[in-house]
Amino acid sequence: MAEPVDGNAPAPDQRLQGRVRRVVGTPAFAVLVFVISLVLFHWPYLAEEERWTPSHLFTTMFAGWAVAIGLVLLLSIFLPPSNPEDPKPPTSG
Amino acid sequence: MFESLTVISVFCFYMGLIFALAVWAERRQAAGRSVVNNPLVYALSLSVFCTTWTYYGSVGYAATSGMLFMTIYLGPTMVVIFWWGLLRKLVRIKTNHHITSIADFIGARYEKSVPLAALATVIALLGTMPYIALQLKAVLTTFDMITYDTGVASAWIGSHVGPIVLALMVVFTIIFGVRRLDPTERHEGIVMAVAAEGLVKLVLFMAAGVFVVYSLFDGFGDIFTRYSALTESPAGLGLKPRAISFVTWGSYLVLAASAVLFLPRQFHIAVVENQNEDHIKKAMWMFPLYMLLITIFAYPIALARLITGLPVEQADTFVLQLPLKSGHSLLTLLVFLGGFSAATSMVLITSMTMATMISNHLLLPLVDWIPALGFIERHLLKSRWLAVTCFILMGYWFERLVGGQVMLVNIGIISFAAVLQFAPAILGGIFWRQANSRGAMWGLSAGFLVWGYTMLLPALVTGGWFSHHLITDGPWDLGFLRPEQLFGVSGMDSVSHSVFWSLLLNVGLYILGSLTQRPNQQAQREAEAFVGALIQETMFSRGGRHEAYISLPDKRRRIETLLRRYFEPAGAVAVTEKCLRETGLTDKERISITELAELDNEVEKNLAGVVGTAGAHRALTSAGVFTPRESQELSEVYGEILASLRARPEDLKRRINFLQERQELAKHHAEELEEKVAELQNQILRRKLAEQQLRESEERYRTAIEYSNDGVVLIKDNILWYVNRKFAEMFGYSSQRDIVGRNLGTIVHPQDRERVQEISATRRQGRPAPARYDFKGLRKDGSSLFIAVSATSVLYKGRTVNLAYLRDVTERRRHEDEIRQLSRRLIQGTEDERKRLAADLHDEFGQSLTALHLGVRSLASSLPPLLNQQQTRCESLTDMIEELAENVRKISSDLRPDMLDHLGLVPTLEWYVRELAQRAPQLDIKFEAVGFKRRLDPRVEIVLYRIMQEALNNVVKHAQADQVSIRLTYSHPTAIMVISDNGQGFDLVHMHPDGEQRQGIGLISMRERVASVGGSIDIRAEQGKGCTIRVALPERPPAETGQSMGIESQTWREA
Repeated sequence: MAEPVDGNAPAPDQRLQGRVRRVVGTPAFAVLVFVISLVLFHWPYLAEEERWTPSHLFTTMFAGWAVAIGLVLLLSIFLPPSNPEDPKPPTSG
Repeated sequence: MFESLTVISVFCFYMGLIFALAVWAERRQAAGRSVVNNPLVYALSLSVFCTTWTYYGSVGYAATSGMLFMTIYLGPTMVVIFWWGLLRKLVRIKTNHHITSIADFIGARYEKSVPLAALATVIALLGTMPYIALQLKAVLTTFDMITYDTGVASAWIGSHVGPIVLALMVVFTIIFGVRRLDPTERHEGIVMAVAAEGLVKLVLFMAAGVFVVYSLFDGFGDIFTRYSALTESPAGLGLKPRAISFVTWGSYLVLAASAVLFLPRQFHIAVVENQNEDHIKKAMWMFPLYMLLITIFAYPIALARLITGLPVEQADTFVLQLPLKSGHSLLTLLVFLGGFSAATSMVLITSMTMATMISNHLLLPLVDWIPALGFIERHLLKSRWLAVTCFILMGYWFERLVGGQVMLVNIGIISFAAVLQFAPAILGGIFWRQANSRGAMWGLSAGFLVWGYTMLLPALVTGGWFSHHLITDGPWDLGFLRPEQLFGVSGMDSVSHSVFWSLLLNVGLYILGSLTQRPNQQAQREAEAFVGALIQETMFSRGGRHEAYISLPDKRRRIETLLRRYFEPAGAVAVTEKCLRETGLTDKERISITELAELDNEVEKNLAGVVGTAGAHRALTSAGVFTPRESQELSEVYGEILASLRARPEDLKRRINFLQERQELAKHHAEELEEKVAELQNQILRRKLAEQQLRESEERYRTAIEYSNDGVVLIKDNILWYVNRKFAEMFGYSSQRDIVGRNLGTIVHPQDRERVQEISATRRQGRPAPARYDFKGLRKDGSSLFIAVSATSVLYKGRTVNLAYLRDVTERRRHEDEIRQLSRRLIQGTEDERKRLAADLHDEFGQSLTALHLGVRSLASSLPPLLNQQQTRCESLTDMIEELAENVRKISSDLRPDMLDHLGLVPTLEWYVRELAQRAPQLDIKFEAVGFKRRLDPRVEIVLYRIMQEALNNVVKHAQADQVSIRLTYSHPTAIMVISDNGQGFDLVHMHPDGEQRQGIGLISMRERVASVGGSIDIRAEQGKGCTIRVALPERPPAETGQSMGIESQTWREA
């Protein structure tokens, strides 16, 4: 037997998606991703690690790159659709 | 190794396939079913960024500079994050202005400046020439590596491989990209070819990587372990991060980040060929992912080859040498083909773009400058073919000049540094309104000169073109002018040094020049159109309505005349018609000045697709579309518009801010509304689903109840409130409506009515009531039936109602009664048989034994005394006969004591007790009989006797008791016998948890005997506490005992 359903209950997935869109699909998030990428791609310099082996270096760089691509993917998903008919600036008068 | 002819043939075959693919894509485009207009193809076509530099050079670079090679791909990854704002804006501007190349873009932005576009073309030309050289060097080197020459043809090819490859490149470029003039400068076929080649080179490079890592070695870990085990790094290769300067790392990132958009071929693919701005979104992550995949094996391959001891000088060809040295010919050929693919796609796009730029921004201005060259305008296509040929030849020349001494990567960096000079002019042009042509010209010129001096010149010195003295001591021995230590700045590598100085001067002069020149109206219009591209509207929509007095046919003739310089007559008419259609002027005779301006803009946009924006503007200006009066009026209109924009800057700014806030607010509200709508839709969906589930559930329950084989009833206040079909059918009603609403008593026989109503009321009041019971029901026609009920109380609509399930058990009860009757007859028959058998034993066998006894005794007394032995035998026989007689009597008594018939119940029981006491001396038996003054019915007496007999036998056998008491009482008209013992007892419930069927034969026999005379029996036993049997029998049994199937109280069970 099906469990009782509360028809007035909010749809968490929809609400969450809207919130995520407002956060992720913004220029501020793009800047954040840029900063994260900057850190990831400079990690061997920032880490002050003198004993980096080729293996460590290779793994770190490509893992950081993959993370950056994942973030860009996330950003691209929540970008608004492009609309050539964007709002017009105000007219005089 | 392969013959040269074979390799060339394979290459031609491969290019044929690619060409077929391109033609197919163009036909699909013509049919309106574009295959190129999708984000995957767009992202793959961007892979033209990965040329032979990536294919061969990344391994070489990794082998010489470690992880520095990754900057070429990490830089673009960082910049794609902003593509939605940056690239989308460039694409929008391209669409609005029919931009055809990066030089066209710069010229169009800065007042349609012809000199600027020409300068940008020269920079692109000189900047990309090394890149072409890089491709040719890679192709020629690898071609030599995998070929040998045996036959005449192969030998000839081997000695002329350079010109042959050049010729093939030129032919393919012309066939693919420049075989006709296209006003839109969009080439779906070539984009498809580039995308396909991008896929080919990715797959083949990864195949080579997998082969090296997993076939020659045991995976990544094995390579790293074996490399670490080397006692000495083969050439001090700087694989550790500290070996790479932070400045160098940053400089390379900046160079690569700018190159991914500002290399002419990248600009063409990313901007000019873009068909849908939304494709950018997917390209933002697909393109970096492509770069990650194509480079993931570069570093391991570099290490692998170093482990095997190959010289670092050959690092550029590691990826090809590994399968070649391992003897994998097919893989070698495929890897070579991948490299060739990478080279051709780059050469093809770059040559095509450069040909457009050269013809539009160098050749056509030259034609304007030198009227004698006017015939070139009618041979624009051929001039582009010539440009393609010259451009590729220049690349080949550069390769011959410096290619032998410089690694691939260093050649590529020269190009990157050149196109970096476009960055300030383009980025400033789309984000800074005040930027103007002076700033752009100063910045570009300075950056270009510094690049040439600090980067190109050292490369030419390396190639032997100039003396090395120039590098070490500077021109004229002026140390502060040393190209790689300009103004004494040292401590940086040559690339960082060049980037530093060129960018510093470029940006500085760009800003300075822009700030020192006041922009004119046209410059302001262009700036507004570019900076506000994403919120653009036509300037003329601000200008209001004006009088339509200008003759359109006259203007049309002038426009067609102009277009005939670049198109065939029919084409010129078609373009004119298209422009009129686009501006909505087709059917008009007279137009206003603003409409004429819009038409002029439209024509300019269409012509820009052929000759570039600056060229189109120049052509229209010279064509005299506007009369002096019209120009004056148009200037006034512009003045009005700009005045309205400038009149109240604070107000304007406030209004813009206000509207932007409103726009943000509206956007926010729209998103919230979107969420709410989505939530509501979700709720509606869930509610519909719930309703559907409810309906289905209700249907299931209704079906289960309505079609149940049991009657179901809801009783409220003794009223039948709901009944199912079976219930109505059970009580003989044709429909449920006939019985619903009636009193409960309607369906109960008067005999049980009061009891049933009492049970119902008790349950309704919440007090304990039997959950299961039987009653005698009453049908509508007056006949009776027996009903088994299972009832409970439920809460319905806030009130307690009784819910009952009824089953018709009439048939079952009839069968039970029949069994009971048969059982009683069996008992009676058994008793009768015992009685007859006992009588026979006593009367016949007993008498015979008595006669025999007398005969033997008589015989013994008659024997003479001398026969002592015989007398003794006779006495023995006499004893045996007496013992036999005693046994016969005992058996007879066991079967049925004859004293029961003769002396009555009490003496018989007393006798039996005495007998038992002798057999079981450990048992203390007390017997008491009260009130027996007359005989009971013989049937009752035998029942009491048998019950006592059975009970005492059980005591002796199982109870382990030492005391037992029997009390027999007569109380008219009932005889009661109670037998109690102090034995171990037994668990009555455990003994028969499912009812009487599990009871022992003895107990069943007792119950049946009691029932046969209409009495009752009560057995109480408990583990460890003995057992008590109470039997109450009528003095005389009823005539038809058990015939009535009335309710028996003992069948009730509490819930």
